[in-house]
Amino acid sequence: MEPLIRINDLVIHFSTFDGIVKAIDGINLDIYEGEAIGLVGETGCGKSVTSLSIMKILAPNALLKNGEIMYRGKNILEFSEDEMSNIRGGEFSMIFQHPLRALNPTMKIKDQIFESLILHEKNLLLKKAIKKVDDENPEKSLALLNMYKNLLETELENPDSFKLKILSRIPIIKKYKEYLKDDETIIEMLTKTDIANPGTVIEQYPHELSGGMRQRVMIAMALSGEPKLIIADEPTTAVDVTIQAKILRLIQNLMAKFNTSLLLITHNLGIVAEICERVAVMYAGTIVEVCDVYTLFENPVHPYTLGLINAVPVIGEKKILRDIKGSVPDFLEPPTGCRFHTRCASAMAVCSEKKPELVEIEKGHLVACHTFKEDA
Amino acid sequence: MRKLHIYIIKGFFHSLLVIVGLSILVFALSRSAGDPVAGYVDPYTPLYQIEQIRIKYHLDKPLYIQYFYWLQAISRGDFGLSRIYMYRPVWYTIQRFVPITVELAIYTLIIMIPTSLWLATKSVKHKDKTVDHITRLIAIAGRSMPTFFFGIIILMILYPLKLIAVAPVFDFQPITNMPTFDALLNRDWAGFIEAVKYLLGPLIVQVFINLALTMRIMRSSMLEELYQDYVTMGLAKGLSRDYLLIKYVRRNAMIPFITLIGIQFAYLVNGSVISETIFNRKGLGFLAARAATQLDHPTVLGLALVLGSTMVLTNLVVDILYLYIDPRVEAG
Amino acid sequence: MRKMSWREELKPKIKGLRFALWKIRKQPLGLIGFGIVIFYSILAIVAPLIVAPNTPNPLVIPKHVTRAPLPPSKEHPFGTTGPPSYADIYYGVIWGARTSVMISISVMSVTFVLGLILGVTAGYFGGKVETFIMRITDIFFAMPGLILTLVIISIIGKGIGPVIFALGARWWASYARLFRAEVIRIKQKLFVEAARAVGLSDFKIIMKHIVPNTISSGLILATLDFGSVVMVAASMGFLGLGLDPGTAEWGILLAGSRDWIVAGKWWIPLFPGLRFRHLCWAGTSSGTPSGTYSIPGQEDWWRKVNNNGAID
Repeated sequence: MEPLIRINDLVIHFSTFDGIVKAIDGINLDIYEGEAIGLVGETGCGKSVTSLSIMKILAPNALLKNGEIMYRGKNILEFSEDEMSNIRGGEFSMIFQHPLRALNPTMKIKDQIFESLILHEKNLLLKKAIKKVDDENPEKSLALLNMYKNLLETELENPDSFKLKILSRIPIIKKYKEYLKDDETIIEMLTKTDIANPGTVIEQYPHELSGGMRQRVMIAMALSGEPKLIIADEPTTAVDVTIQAKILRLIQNLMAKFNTSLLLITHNLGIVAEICERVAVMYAGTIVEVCDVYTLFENPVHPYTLGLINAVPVIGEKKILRDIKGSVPDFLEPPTGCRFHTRCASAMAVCSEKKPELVEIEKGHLVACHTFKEDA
Repeated sequence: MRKLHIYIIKGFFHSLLVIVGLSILVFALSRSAGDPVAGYVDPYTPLYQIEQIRIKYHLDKPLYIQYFYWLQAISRGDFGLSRIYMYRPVWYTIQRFVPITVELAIYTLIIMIPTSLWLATKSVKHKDKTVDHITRLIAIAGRSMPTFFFGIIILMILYPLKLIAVAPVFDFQPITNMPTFDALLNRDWAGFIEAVKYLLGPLIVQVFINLALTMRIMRSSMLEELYQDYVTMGLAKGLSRDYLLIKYVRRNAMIPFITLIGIQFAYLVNGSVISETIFNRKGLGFLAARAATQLDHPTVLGLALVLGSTMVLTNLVVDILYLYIDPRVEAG
Repeated sequence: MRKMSWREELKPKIKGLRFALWKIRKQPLGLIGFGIVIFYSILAIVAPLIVAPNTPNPLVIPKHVTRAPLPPSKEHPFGTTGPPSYADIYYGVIWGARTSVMISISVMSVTFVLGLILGVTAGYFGGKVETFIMRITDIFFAMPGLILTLVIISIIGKGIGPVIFALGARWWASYARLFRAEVIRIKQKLFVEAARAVGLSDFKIIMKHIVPNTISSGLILATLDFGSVVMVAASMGFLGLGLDPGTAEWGILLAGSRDWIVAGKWWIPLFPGLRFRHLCWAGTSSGTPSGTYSIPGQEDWWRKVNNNGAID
């Protein structure tokens, strides 16, 4: 089965004052339709950069050194900004870690949701708007109303029409856009996310809501375009533990409805266990292991993954917590060959010379480690 | 909301304290420059009357008592007599010069605000490209340009072209006391042109100097907002960069910008001493310069107190305004 | 937990210095500006070697009486100003450098030291002392700078001393505020360690830690203000306050020019004006404030410093 997204050999560097930061050093990842795949790793290993690359929202000093991201047979890294704009929020959408920071503090919730809606559900809004004009009180100027209706219909059928471009700039006539703002639709969207009192919420500002509510608003916005892929960057880290489970369930339910894929970025293995089917483990800008979630916990193979799993305390089990010796490498001068070799107990000579490729050692289980080259 | 009220009250008291402190400073200065009674008499006052005035203002009492009576006099508007303006009351003299300065302030702001917004946006959009460099050069030029040098250059260039009037004569009825508005109200077109010429020199200087500052501050403000998470989120929603720049970045960056404008306004009202002197524009700055050079202490000190209080109050108003405008702050 | 050795404290400062130097290198304007400031300082010192000093007071321009200003010529390379000061402009410009630099350095030193003492006292001891000192700075901030200087000069009288005093009165407040803010910031960092140091925190030693850290920001402000002080001093001269007319000072020279421009004598303002412009511009751009220049991804630079190279 062809994956929805295939990342091939992606290499991304950042140019900074201190030198070139080799943040992503050749990653390969497949994301299939409808699956929930986790991307785990320590803080700073490059998970967020990966997700931002898929959305193509990297900082201005990012350098794409190599690689491609294939989506529907095309390399999205070559897309123009306009083409990406269309995809973002629509086919791909993203949920951020800190919803307070991710929402515009000076805009009401309804306006922010409206922004998403008008981009990705425009026709729906237009049809509703036309209906509203029809239902409008005939006391108002009939000519004006007809004009509004005409403009709305033109937008629906012929959005690039010249007439539209000119007329939509004239002050009074511009008012036809007001009809597009449909509180009902917005409330509908919020209700889908199990938020309480959506009617009140839409009139509020982000700082007036609780963390869980803000996250739900973000989810509502992310789903407005019936996305094929949702990238969730640590969606539960900033939320209370009690809400975390609810948010996760919510994401799962909504995914099921539209058969959306989920790329869940986190350093919390517990969440991975809850919701992911497959997991990719990332270390220092490389993917070191990819397997299904059961294998991850029961039979991980890469030394780093082993270290991770061993470091997680398990309730009810008396276990010695082992941490991994050493610390995250410097991205300016990363270790040669395999980036983990300086901390690896099973390091061999070849590990410092050559970077290991991701090879499939059994069905659905890939590892990038020289210790497996021997076993065919 | 309660936190807001407490903040306002605190701010109010703080401003009051500063104004009181200022008045003490001014008082101390007024008593350190010769015989204080000189500020209240003119050359024709007979000797016995001088004694009476001395008693009236309690000038024979100890300093701290003098201070209270001085405050009393100030609150009545009695700052003494202005030596350089025919011994008229200082307050009256100051009042006469206010409208001219206010007029300049109004026009400067009208030009400055949209221009700095537009230039800042362009600088941010094309960061580190030509536009950005040009604005940076303008900013440095504006900051480092001594006002009077620039003013003299403008005078040198524009005066021969008859675009500047240094001693205009107006025929129309003074209604607002601001030449351009009065001319329009009187439908005196020739007078209006004359009034504009009167305004042009200082206007160009003020706009240039202030624009340099506001433009770059707005740019910094916008850049700060540009790298915030909500802008990245906006991108992730599929919003276009142009839309984000205006509706997200600029709109949010305008909030601190507004407070800056408020403070600029206070500075402008306080009179641009140098540009008014160069172009002979009879506003508060001109008055201050003249009074200082001619050693007209009552006027100088009166101006100091009045202008200082205006600054303090403007700052207070701007602070409060900021609290109302920024929804982030409402929650306390 | 041991206190940081001075070597470790120095590392981030060296990094900051490297960054500053790199910024200057990337923006040659700053370097040029700095060079010009040095040039004028040297000029100020060697003035007597270039133009013979006037006796008895070298700062008074020798008069050359003519009915109207003379254009540039061999004996008067920049011309003269004619009535009312009859000054030789060349002399005025060269010796004016000395006046301006002298005034500027004196004012800067006074305000720096005064601001340092008061600011550190306020920031370190806090409480009533801090509130009191801050209130006083508020009062001085309430008046727009030029007006304050005007007021003081008109009361005190003429001469270089009063000029320095008046300018000092205007500027000390910003330094006091800056140092107080810095002290508060540093206090939070080192104080914790100091408190743990057996409770016997030697205040003097803490001052030796705090003061060196705060001086760097003060110096940045000082380089920026250098140009501003010269500007304001010249403004005073221009308006005719402070120094006697006829003193070699650029503002005074320019003042005389105003009336003659109208008559078309261009050389009078040109030379002093240009010099002046140079110096001011140099002063302000050599202390290039951050935010006026950036490299792509400058923000990433800061993130890097905090995060040990990790990019998330």
